[in-house]
Amino acid sequence: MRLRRIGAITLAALMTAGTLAGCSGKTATTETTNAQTTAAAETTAASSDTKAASGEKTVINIWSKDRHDASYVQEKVDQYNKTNTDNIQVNYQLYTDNYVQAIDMAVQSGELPDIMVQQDQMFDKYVNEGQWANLYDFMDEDMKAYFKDVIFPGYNELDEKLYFIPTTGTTCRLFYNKEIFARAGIAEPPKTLEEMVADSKLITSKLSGEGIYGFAENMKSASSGLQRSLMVGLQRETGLVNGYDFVKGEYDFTPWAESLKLWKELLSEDSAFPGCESLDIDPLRTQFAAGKIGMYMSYSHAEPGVYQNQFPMDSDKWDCVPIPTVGGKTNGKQYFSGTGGYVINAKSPNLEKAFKVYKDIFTNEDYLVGYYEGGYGVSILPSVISKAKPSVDFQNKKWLLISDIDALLPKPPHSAFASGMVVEGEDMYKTCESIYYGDADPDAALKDLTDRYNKAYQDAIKNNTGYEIKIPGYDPQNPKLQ
Amino acid sequence: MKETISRNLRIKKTLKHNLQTYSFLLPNLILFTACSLYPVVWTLKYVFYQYGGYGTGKPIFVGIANLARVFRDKVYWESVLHTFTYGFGKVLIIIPLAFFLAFLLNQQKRGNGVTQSIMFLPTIMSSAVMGLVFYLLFNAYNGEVNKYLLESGIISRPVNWLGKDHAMKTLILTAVWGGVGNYMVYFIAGIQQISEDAIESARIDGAGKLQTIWYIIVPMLGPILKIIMMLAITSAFNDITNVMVLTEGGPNNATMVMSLYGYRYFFPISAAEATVPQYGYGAAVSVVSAAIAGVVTVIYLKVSKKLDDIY
Repeated sequence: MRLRRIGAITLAALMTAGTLAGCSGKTATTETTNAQTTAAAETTAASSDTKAASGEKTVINIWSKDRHDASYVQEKVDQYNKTNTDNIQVNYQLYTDNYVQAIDMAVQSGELPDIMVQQDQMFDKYVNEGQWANLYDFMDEDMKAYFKDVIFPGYNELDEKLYFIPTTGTTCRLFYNKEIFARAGIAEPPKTLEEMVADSKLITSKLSGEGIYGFAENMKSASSGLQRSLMVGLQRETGLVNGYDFVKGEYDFTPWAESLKLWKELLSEDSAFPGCESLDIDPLRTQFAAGKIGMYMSYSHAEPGVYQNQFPMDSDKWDCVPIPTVGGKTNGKQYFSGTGGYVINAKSPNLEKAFKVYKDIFTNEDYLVGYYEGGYGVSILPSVISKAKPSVDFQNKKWLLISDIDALLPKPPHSAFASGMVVEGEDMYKTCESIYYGDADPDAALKDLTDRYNKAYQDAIKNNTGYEIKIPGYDPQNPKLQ
Repeated sequence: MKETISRNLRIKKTLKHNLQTYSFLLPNLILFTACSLYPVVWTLKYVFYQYGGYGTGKPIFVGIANLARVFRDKVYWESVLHTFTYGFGKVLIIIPLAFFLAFLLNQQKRGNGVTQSIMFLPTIMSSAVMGLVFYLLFNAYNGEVNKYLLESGIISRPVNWLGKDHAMKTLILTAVWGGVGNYMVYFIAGIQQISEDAIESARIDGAGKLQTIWYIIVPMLGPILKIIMMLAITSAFNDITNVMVLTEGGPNNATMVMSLYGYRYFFPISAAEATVPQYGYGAAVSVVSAAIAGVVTVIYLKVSKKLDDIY
């Protein structure tokens, strides 16, 4: 009886210990990982603080959100793992969905990798927490000189600290199928939004019997679809950055009405690809590659790689042009974003080695030339552009390159202090959605949106969760960041 | 003094006697506290704060502002309405269908066992996979349903099953397909509990098949029907994966249900750069949604007491 009781209590204690071990994830994981590392140095350890004992390899973890260049980067990482003489093992991991949430969780649990692909939201969130390393602390003079053209104060250089180096750039364009345009009798791609609506309707009326439609956009998520299309056109058309006037220091969405009325037509049954409302970007691309969609808008850096590797399509069949605006108006520049940048975890126990890995793999000229030539991104480095022989897409399609209609734009308040500015009700993307699906009156909805954003902005300033953003003498045709 | 000693001894004895029980309860208690109690307390606390999550500064106390915002939020109340449409649509179809299938497949006929297993399969399938399969079936541009309808000449233009006009119906259909096998099994268990004597005597008294079902089987299924209905209603109120995979609550919130509406404030779904979590408001939405689900459950329990009385 006594023995049974002791046995039962021991069993219960073991169960409790198991439960507690499950709850204290960090300690348990670290210990397990260390044990595994000791047993087999080559193992793909998940923990970032895999400190090498003598003779063991130092594990450097890299996280990426980009699928389009994954095979290229993996190849370079494998090559580095085979050839490096510093006893370093690099693990390259993809987190394409919920990248920001994965970073958030990793920060909270102290499991942040050593190197990560830079993304605006995660960068802004943790830059003031001292989470990202100042690259100037490690860069020699040669490296500083090599990258001097891509250092933009107020963007990647803040308070004289350099946090990431963009090596390629991206912006948004209208992609169109030349064959479909020719079949519909359209001589050239649209320059105005009005022409675009007419072209889309013409294609749908002539070719929908064959399952070919004029226009599509990935509208399953309004924000994802509009950020690469409508918002970009509106930047050039209105000179405002996502509705924000940097001279007046206030939001004004009312100039969007004309564009949204035309978008309503663009997405109507007699124009748009059926099922746009539930379309993600990759299913859209498969249909474009299959010759079922006349036009759509997306990022310039990604599409060449997609149609070369992911969903093969003959390069002669497609091209791209600037996103059309109402009446062809251009009162400002449209944003281009630096890509190909990596941030280094300032709290990494292997900080110096992490920088070495970053420098050896991602800032190596062979890597950068190969990246551009492979069609994974559009280089913004003069030295790479002069040496590279980019793919036919980049040689023949001039609008894939960053041009004089593109510029780095300053961040409006809702981006600069996103969590400090709480907008009550639907955001700008969902409001646009309700307008182009005909559920809201454009003028009334945009006036209400303007009022709500300005109120949220003023509240943020009042509550010290935000600050006033005004750029005296701001010229939308020649924008400056601060 | 003597009494105190004897009381202490008694407590000691009881504790010693129950040590084994408490030891076994401890792991569950820890898990319950960590995984259920703590999140509930955490949620209740953040109802009164504005907080964007880790790395966004300290939470700011805002009193009842978040709760007041819920009551002003038109989209939230529309999502409540959609939840009721979805829930009642699902229950209205799934319960009679599950009963009908249970009645058919309960008979000792060849192949019924296999059919039962096939009908049950969707229950053990992941909701995310189910959502994807239904997307392949129902998407407007190359979905199998449209292909079949176009080929057979029933329609001349693809129907936008996931568009504003039909998305909710498609969601209900997906939910019915995913859940009917489960409820069918419950009904089969219930039917098998009914005494053969009762059915036999009804037949002797001249009751036909339909009369036997309506006057004998259905009333005698009262207690299990109550549980099945309760499960169907509560699961409909919490269904989120299905909606997320198929429509993300769109187009233009046409399929936004209240659980997904709260979820998106904790974990913004879209890839938008400017979309940030609003934990405080998400917590307020979750608390109000839980209260609504609670009220519905209480009303249902009161109404369903009648089902108990029948038996």
